[in-house]
Amino acid sequence: MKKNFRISNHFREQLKQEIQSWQTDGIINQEQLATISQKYQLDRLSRERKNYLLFAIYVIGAALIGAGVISFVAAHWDKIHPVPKIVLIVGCMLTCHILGFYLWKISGKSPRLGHALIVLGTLIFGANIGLLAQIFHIKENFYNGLFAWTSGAIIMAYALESLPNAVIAIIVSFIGFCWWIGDNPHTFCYYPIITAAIFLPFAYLRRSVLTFVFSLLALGVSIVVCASIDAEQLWAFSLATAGIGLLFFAWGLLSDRTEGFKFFAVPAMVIATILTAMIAYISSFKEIARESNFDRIGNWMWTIPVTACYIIATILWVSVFKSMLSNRRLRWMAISILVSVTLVFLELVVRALWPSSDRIYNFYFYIVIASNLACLVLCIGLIAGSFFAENRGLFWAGILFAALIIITRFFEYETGLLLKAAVFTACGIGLILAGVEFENYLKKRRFINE
Amino acid sequence: MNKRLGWFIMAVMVQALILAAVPGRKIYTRQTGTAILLKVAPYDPYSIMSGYYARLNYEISRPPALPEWHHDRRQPKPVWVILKKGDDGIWHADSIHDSWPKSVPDNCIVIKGKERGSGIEYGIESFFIPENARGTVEHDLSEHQKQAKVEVKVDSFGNAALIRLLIEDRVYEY
Repeated sequence: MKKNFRISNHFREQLKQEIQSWQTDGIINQEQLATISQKYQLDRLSRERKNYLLFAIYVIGAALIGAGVISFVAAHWDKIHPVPKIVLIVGCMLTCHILGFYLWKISGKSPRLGHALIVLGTLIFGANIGLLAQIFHIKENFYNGLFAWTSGAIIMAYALESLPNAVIAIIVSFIGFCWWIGDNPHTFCYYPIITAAIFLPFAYLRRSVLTFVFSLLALGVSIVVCASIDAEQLWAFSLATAGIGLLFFAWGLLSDRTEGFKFFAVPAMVIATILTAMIAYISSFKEIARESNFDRIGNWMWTIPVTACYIIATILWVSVFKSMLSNRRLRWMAISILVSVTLVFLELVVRALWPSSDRIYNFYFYIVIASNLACLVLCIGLIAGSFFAENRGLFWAGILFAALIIITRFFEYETGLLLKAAVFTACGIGLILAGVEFENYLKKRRFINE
Repeated sequence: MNKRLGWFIMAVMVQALILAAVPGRKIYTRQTGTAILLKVAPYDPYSIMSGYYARLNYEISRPPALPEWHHDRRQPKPVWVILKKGDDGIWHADSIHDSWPKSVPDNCIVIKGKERGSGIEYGIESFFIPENARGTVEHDLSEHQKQAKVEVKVDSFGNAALIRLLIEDRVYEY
């Protein structure tokens, strides 16, 4: 029977324990127990656990060997002539790849070891690029070497549907991007587009949450970095972060509706919520509101990925809006994200249209109010959403974010110690009471559902 | 299986091609280029090394005598410099051009560089030194700045490849 690989192993472990007690309590008979065991392949759990452990050990071993090879590169082989050196290092790489492929895909006897050897081969490939650069005294454009490594890794990832190779590719490419920024004005803003085009299809092809999360992080962080560094303006950072939050949440909503990709929904929405909370929180500081002006920008390259982000976000929101409103679990969260981002966006629009010389003295005060409102809306969305989704994580995220806002405002506006003491105590009591109430609510819901 | 094998072979070949491409241009330059000597320019003796690389600057990196030389460019821009051999055997910058020069005198060669705010870079500013030789080379460079020269090969496209470092009668080649 084909394993439904989207049933988590945690669920299968718990089920294996539970069905024994069901049989003891007479809820199911022996035959039904066997049917359930067969359906979820519960007998294979211990073997799979061992396999995963072995795989993890092999990959760690491969990574350590790779680190050893890289250190070897750093020490430099000065006693051997370049030609035999090159033959040896390329030979190592090819041996790992060929042996790994044989063990994994041809004989099938040690698939985990074979896969780990392929990963080692990719690590040695990266080390080889470094060694060749040293032999021929090539140091300029170091990021080109990292992108070359990325190319080799991602091609191997696609060829063999190898997750570790994809993860290596994403991490190495991001490091290369960080180097690229320092050397090339503006052109580094192409990185987010390239990332989306190369890494996201792999995540969808392999249905890999790990690759999806890494890709989203690389994409989101790089767009924000592009906007901040290329524009050299704080408001560009806010605009980019808000846009990413909007895009990723809509992406999560769409994934939630898409059969076979529901597991992408939670990571996308979590990253979106964190980014939205971050930008709303940062914008809520009075000093940030005062400092952030719309000065003339000389560079426009960063607008390409940011504009693409907003366009795609708009399309996605339009396509999921109706279904979002009817989704009890996610409705409150989605509306709060939309409202928070809109408030942050409106702030920026108002700032842009109202030149600083014309502003009334307390203009920035209204900006601060809008940002704090965005934070409040997000808190409400998280807490309300937790009640409908019956999710502790959302509840505590909302409560803790609210507590953070309150405490931050008190420290920022220098109120008296006595008042601070009273408010902090009230926050603490409120937190505890809220937690108790929520747990009671969950208990009641569980009782009703049963 | 055949399809999977085909993809695997393609991936390995791509990796091998990438490895061939990394030093490809330098190998071509070393095989076909003209050997020339360049004088190392004075530099800060306290920051010779950058990791495992010695930072080298050349006389031709900042040629102030030439009228075409712009030393305050902020955006990197490709330039082509005509080098002429001096009586001392050292090659010096004769003229700078924004594109490949229309005519190159017989006893001159063209080297390609990138003009930045701090000077012109030719891709030969980093000299890799193995760990056990770092101390010796660094000391020698800081003590004998004025006597340091490099042997470089320049190919017909203006690309340069660093071959060896020469300080008085000592030769450093790795």
